[in-house]
Amino acid sequence: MMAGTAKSAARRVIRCVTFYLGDDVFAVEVERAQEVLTDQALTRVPLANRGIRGLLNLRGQVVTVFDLRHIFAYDDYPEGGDLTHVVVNTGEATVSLLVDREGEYVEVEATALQPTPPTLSADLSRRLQGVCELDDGRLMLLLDVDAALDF
Amino acid sequence: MTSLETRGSEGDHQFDRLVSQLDGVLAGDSRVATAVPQQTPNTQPGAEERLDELADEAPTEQVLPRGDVADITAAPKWAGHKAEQTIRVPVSLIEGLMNQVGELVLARNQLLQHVHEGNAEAIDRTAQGLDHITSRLQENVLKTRLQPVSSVFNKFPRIVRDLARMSGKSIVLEISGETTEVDKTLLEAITDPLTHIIRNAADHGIDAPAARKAAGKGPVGVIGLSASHEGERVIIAVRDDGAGLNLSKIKAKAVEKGLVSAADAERMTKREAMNLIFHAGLSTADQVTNISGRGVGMDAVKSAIERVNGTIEVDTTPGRGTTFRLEIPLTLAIIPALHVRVGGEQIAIPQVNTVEVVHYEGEAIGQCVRKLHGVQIIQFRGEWIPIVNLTTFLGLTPDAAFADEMSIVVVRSGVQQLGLIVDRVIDTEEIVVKPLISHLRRVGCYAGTTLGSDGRVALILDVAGTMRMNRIEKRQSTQDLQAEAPTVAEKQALLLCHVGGGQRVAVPLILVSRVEEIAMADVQTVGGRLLVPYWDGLLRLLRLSDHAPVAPLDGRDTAQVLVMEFGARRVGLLIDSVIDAVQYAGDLDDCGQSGSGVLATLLIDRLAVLLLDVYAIVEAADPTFFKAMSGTGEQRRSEGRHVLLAEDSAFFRRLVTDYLKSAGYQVHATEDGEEALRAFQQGQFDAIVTDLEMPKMDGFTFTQEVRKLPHGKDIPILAVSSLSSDDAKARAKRAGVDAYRVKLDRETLLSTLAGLIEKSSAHHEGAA
Repeated sequence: MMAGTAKSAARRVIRCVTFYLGDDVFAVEVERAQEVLTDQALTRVPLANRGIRGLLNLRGQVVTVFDLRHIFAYDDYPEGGDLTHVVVNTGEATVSLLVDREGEYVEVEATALQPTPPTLSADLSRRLQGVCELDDGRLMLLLDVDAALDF
Repeated sequence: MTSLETRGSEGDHQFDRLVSQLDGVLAGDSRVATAVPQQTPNTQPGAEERLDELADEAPTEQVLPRGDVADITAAPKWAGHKAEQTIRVPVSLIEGLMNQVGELVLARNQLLQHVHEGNAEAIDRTAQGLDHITSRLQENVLKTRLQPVSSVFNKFPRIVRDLARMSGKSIVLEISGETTEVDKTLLEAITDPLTHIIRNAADHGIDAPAARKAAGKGPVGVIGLSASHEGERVIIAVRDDGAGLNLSKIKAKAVEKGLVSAADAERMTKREAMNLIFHAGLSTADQVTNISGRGVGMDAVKSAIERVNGTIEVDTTPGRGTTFRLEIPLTLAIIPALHVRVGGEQIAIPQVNTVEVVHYEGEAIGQCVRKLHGVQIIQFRGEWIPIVNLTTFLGLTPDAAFADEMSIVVVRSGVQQLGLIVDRVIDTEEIVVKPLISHLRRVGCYAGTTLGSDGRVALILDVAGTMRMNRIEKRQSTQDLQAEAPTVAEKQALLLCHVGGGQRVAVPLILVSRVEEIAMADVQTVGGRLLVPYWDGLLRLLRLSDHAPVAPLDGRDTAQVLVMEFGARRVGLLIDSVIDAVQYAGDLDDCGQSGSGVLATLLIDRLAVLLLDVYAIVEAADPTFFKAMSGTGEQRRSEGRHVLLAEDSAFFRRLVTDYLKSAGYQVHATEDGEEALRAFQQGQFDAIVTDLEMPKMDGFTFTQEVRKLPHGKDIPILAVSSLSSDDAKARAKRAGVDAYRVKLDRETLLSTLAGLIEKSSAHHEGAA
């Protein structure tokens, strides 16, 4: 159905679940997202890459928690604040992305998705599918989940 | 049930899920009440429906805002891609499972009712019943995964027959114990390695008919293949009555390939020589036939077996044959493990790897723990075994509560033993092993994760990996251990720290005597110097941003201090926090440009890390710091002594020079043996410190040349190297070196040098 033509591509809608790192809006495709959790007991993994925050028990399943702030070179999470886990499915397993807080559900036109601006470092932009301006003028960064967690 | 009977099989992944659903029940009684209702229907539908529902994924509880539920809970994309695997399970076993699930539902209903009534005694009773049902269910579900080894063994007669025909030998394959059952995944994991061993036995092991006749053996070669249970392990043995391994040929090959030196090969025990066949790149067949030797070596066999936590051993008798003995666990899904606590974390050590737990208290610690070449060892059952502090190894913060006692878990992998110092041993428990994602497998010291009874995730230690990471190499006897203690030769131990602005720096771990947390309110500024009360005096603090290109620490209440001791003087470096102790394996010379206060820029975890030049930083803050160090006896002797240093690596030249200077020596640094020899001929020196591996002229030749000179006969020569092999040591000794030390170990380096100089001057005084 989608094949080829610009017209059908124009109608394609990307459904996103958004979340925040600081004031920046990030998003993952709703198909990738499984659920959102807060306030989880984490087991840290000594000697692991700093991009991995720890492990949590999600109904008997061990979920690896990725430190999205570290991966995207933000300062560490604000102290004392409740952290939010966006649980997503990667090709390999179910993992959690640790974020500041969850946002809302948005739908954007596929055509509205722009390549990341060259001001972002190559390492950061390869972890994103693109950026998109939301109705209220804010910029939303759409994550490429597999690339984001590839390190 | 009907579908099962007609198909006689059930999808493998469903059983996997069934096992994982059971995990929830096993994870703890407290969770049972909530976990069970998701997994079993309230009504009593037909048996097959129940099984299906049990195997279904638990429904997700939380729905995303305005999200499409169907999409969110859609099966992950990797599911279903795998070809449907099947497994044969006796119908009676499935019926048994059905009955136990029925009992589980009943117990759940009772439990809910008792909880509702608040009848504690009845809850307790029902919980015990649940425990009983769960263990039987666990046992039976695991049984569905067990397969007789005959499914693999059955293909070997044909392979052996084909090989015999192609090589013109007569071989019979004798199989025993083929009904022994092993977990299906394990059976799959050992199929290829076992095939390789059988091929090898037929191709290389069994000798040609003529050779057999000459050796007085029957014309028909025999390969024996057997399987048996030994406790929770399965033993598979492959023996042939061929010519046996030609150990001298194996040794010659290993020397030729540069795996060992000729001298080492000479001294090797039989076992060590036999184990050479597991080295990568060693094929001993005179010619690579098209039968075996297809690029798969015994090293691949060994690692495949070790991946499933198994071991492989070889034994051979010249002329009588060779035996391979594989030991693999019965199952990987649920294993008994020892829970230990280290630095506030709980870690599980597989029981199959544990030998014993030893506990020391108070003075006994100092008496039992010895240090050899920088490695701590203890006497255990008549042998010296190395010990490693698990807290330090994992980079965790030591728990002060356990300072006066020491619990050591002695673990083994193959024939290697290692003592792991832990804070506390908690208990043994059967744990459900859950896999790690690739990021964490790469760490190298974890075998998986599990859920504790409190529902928290615990890591499972990979004992073989931990030994590898600590460079505990295979050794057979006490003598071997004493001859060559494991070292961190090429790796540099660094302490990784945060400083201001999220920047990271590293300092050599050996320079740091302790890490302290201080309140900034306690810091006083006196004459431009930062001082903080420390023990009975004041500790001078240095701001890194004053002397190195790092951002200043922003306004804060507390900071951490790296306390360093140089002789009797102390100084503290202010940092944000310690991240980790790391073993840096990269080349230090090729690490980008250094600046003031910086030795090199390293890449650790994909982040740039400045390796601080601690001596330069301290000197920049206080130019007289090292000169003014109060003279202990040792330093007085070193005062004004001239040392000639030969070292090709710029990094180590600088580092060793700094060590020597800090102890009061005058240092003349050279870049290779040739330059050093010229300098020696022209100058007056009291001692020589030389690297062994250098371009132009290495340390061995340099030493020999020096010893030939009249004033070089008695000069103390200390070799420093990252080579730690016996051979290097022996060669260095033969060349005329007085002592041999590993780089970076400043303390021993300096005390050894001081000792050598003292001995030499005493000798001279005595002679005069």
